[in-house]
Amino acid sequence: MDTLDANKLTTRELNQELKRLADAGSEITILNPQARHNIGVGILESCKINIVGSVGYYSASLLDGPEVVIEGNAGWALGENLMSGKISLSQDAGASVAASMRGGEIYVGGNAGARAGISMKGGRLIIGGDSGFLTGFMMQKGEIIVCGNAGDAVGDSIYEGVIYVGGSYGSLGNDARVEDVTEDELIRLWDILDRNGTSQRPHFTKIVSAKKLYHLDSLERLEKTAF
Amino acid sequence: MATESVVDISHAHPFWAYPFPDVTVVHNGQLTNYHKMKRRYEDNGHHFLTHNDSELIAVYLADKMANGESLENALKASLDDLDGTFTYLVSTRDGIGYAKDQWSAKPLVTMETEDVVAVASEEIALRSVFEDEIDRIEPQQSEVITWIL
Repeated sequence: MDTLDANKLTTRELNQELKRLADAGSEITILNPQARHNIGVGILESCKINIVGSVGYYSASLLDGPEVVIEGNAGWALGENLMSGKISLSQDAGASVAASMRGGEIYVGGNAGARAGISMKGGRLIIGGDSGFLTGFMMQKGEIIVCGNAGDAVGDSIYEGVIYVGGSYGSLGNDARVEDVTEDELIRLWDILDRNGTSQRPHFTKIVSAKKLYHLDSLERLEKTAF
Repeated sequence: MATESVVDISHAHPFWAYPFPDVTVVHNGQLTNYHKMKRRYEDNGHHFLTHNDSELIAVYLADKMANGESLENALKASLDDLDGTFTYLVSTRDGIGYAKDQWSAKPLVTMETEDVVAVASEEIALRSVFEDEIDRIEPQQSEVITWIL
């Protein structure tokens, strides 16, 4: 176990040292993050990182493999572009948590801001509390589980993927629709919540794409004319 | 410092609602109906001191309050009347407040205890004042709060 005191390092020095220790397979604890931005980015090794305190925007982003535990809040875009691994945040996340994530799992113990899971391309985002405006905006794959309430325009312009909302939601977004949840799905979701240490048992509403605005194809327009 | 007009001291935040006394605004965002609304005020004889859209918010709020609106109602009305993205703070002789646009496009965090109200774009700014971990709230879209003395 190695400990880094963020108070004694610039963010660049902190991330370089973090990367060096992660490459060596160490378990790392970061003290005094003081809500600074970009803490713990660009680590492509499996390792364990504990951050004791709040972090700022784009923290724990561009990761592929680490298990990150944050005891505090996070600013905008926590876990942006996560490829694999796990991020657990004990309190609130700012807007755009899990933006463009492609794999792995992000758990937010408190509330999340606007555009949670924007443009998600895989993986799982779990929010223990409420989520804000435009949850799952332009989502393309993966799943979002909101235990509390969601704001307006849930699933706006969603292509693929699933959003589960445990409480109420303000409104559905463009091209989103509600689908029935099976008992097997509920049991699977509750099991996921169990694994994340929450005893909540919401009866989720399932929101998916209505696919009326769905114009994806495997080929671009110009590629099609070439055949 | 304002970044979308002249970068000099007269275009630096906070913007004063000339000639109304004691109404100032700090704004993060862009107003897309700035020119239209500015012309409307100018047609009524108002003279703007800058070419910065943030000044318009201060004038808009001051004008509303001069016509009898409360600070809170002026802020609420601005959510519909101002077009574009904005999170702004306003300070008057009697209180302070903020408004956040319908898109929730610009960041804001607040912290409130019995003794202190602190508002900033990001938690890192609050933590430069409060060393220990804090309970902060991130306001959501179309949210307006005022604190009146």
